[in-house]
Amino acid sequence: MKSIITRKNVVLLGGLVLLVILLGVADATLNNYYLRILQLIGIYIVLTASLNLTNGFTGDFSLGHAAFMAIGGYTSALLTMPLAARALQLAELPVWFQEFVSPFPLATVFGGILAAIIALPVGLVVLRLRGHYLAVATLGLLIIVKSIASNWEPVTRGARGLSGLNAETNLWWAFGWAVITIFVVWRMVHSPFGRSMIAVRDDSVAAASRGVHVFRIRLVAFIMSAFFGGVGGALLAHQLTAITPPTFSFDLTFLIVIMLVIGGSGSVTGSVIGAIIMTILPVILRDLERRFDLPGVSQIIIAAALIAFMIFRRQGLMGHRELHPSTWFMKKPATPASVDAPQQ
Amino acid sequence: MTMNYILQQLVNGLALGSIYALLAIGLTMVYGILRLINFAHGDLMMLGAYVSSIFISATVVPILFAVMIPTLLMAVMGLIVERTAYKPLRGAPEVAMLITSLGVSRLIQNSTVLALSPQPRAFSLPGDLTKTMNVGGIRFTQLDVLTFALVIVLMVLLTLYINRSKTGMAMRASSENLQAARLIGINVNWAIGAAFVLGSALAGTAGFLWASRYGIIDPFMGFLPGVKAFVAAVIGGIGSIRGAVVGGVLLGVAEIGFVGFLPPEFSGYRDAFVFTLLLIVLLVRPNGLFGASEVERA
Amino acid sequence: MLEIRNLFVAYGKIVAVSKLSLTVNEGEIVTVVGSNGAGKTTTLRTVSGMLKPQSGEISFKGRSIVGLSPEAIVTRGISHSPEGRMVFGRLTITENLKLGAYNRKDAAGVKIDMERMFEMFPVLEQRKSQRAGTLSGGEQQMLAIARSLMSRPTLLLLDEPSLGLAPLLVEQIFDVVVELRNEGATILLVEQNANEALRISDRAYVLETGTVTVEGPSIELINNPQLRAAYLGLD
Repeated sequence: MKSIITRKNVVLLGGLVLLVILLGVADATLNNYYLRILQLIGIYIVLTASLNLTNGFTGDFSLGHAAFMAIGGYTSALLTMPLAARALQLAELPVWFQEFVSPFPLATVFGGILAAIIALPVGLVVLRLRGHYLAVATLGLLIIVKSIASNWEPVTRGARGLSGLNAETNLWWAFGWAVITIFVVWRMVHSPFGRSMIAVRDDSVAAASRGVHVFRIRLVAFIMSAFFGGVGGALLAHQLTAITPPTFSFDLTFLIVIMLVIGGSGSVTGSVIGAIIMTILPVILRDLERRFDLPGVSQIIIAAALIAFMIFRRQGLMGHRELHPSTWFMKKPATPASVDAPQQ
Repeated sequence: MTMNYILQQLVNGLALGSIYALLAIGLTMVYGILRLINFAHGDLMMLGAYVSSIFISATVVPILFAVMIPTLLMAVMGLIVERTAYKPLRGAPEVAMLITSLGVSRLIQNSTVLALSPQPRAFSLPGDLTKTMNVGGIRFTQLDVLTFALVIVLMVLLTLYINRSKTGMAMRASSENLQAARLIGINVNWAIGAAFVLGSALAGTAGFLWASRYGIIDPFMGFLPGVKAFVAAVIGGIGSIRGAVVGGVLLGVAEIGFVGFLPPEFSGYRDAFVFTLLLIVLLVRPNGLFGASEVERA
Repeated sequence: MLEIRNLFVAYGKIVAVSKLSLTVNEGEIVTVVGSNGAGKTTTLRTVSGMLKPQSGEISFKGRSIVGLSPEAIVTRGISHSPEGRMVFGRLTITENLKLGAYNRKDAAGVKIDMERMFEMFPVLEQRKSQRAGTLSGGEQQMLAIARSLMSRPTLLLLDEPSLGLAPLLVEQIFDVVVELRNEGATILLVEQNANEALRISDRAYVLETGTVTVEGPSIELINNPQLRAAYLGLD
């Protein structure tokens, strides 16, 4: 038996403690505006790291992440909505539901679970496709889910959406979930299961001939990805406190794809880096855009950067590599800590 | 439900379907050769609509200009997009090309926002084009007639070009087997450029038709029709021009039928319907109606 | 006519061809034999510009052709009839032949050559307006060779022309190759059917894991007992 007190674990624990301290300091000193940006970073880490399971590791390029976010977001919103708001907005639902308010953590988990449950039949259908067709089919899923959100009046209130939620998402929830997501994704990827995922991505025929259950691997990755997508949606909903169908737009899916691609799909630490950069950069750019009254410029710069990345650095910043924790913690102490050393 | 109502829906469906068909042709030609879903294709339609609107509002210019100029300009635009964004990615994984095309789509949309405005603007045709005619109880506008005539003429011309010209032959060969095409000395960049020029030109025409039909244009109007047109191309059999036309028309008729024949509370689900249709086609007949199987192409 | 010196080709990290040298003189048929994965097809694809070598030199008629595009190489006079035939199945036979002459500007000459192809392969003329996909395997191989000849090459690269064909058709294909040589063509032939290929060729190279291990006049290779056992499946 190896001792639990390895150098790696000490570094990890130290990193976690450091993260907690930094978040505590941030929580105490920063104003709301910056706190919200920090929360968004945590949420986007959840979303990007989970999208990495499919788009990066099994090579199933999904454009449907916002669909699972919508499922998680709406589900959790329905569960946590305060009684007063509920009486106004959900009058058409059964009485027992109107009186049932779930605590936020439970609602978040439940949002993730429902997204995962829905991902099962969806995955059974769309994962029979690969490549471009899968991308368009998952984009279709997003459009279908948005149609339902826009039209299922008694539950979603259509275009009016759900509002009056408590602002439950704080730094601790956002980064707590980010750490959990990274931990789970990292463990998945660095397990026999993860090696199978990568084998499926690199050559599914060869993987199948070596006895890898290709479809099952892809399906599990898809469902896990959906779970954290749902969780991310719940976190986002309780940061915004109001959601409408356009909250979970194609733009959102696209933003997460950009984070993943720029960080380097196939790298867990890359997802973290991508999420950080692509949360902060648009904020700065939008600020400039407003200051100089140049609408659209931030999106233009981001789109041009994305194209440039595809032409000149297709593998993203990290490629398939991971940052080693010792250098990691020295350089970027404000990031989640469940990142351990690359194995082998 | 009267026969007239059914025929009326059919006319509307054919009109929408013709526009999908025009868009789908460009998508299918490009996908056939490059295996690229050009998400920016619909945005060229949007640009075409904006160019067209300049000539629509200038009453002194004949309406023909509102069709021709965007068609020609988008042909050039398509080539520019191909050469600057897609050409550097030859041989890259298909996902890289897909992401790039999403980026190009964003770039075009937001450049339009920057240059003009994010606000929608009206696109109003001269009165005589929207005047309705009544033929046996079915209402047509001159625009409907113009749409059908334009689409039919363009398809005949395109088919002749693809089937008869040397470039058309090279395009078909490249679409079937890019490796072999290069090996026998076909300049595939030329064939790819031709596919973009022709397809984008048709997207420019579609821009005029779409804007005329809905009377309003905005920088983001093109994306969804573009994706739906790709759905149409898949239904028809990706890579096949005939398939794109048939798929486009079928999709238009099905979509209008869905809205026209089901109770009104379903009409909000029309986009969902289109993509459900796509999923069914992909699972039941992944090669579409006229598509060659991937094996046959190899 | 064709000089390959110290050729080195890799797919990513996997080396397919290394230190390969090979010469084809005008008017010769040169055969390259070797097992699957020995680098035969890679060599041909590098000559025709489909692959870029890591290092090494390929010259044709005394001028380097490394780094030229496939179409430029076709224009210089090298034509490659690929493994697996790769005819355009959805195009007609006539269209396939016309595309073979894609880079030629002499319409009259193209017409004459088309007639010549139909003389050489009468079955193609009978079915000239049918889709190439409807042809049998042997007929497709003839079309593939005819298509390559339509560019009026001075050097013809033939990759596995007999692959997957019935013995009678194999005979026919080799007859065509001999006929081409008698008309003055220069041919670099890659074949699994080493026995037959050596019989009609002047010189031969044996490839093993990407490099030449034996070379010499074909007649010597046929009579080399070791080679007979190892490569020709004869004893």
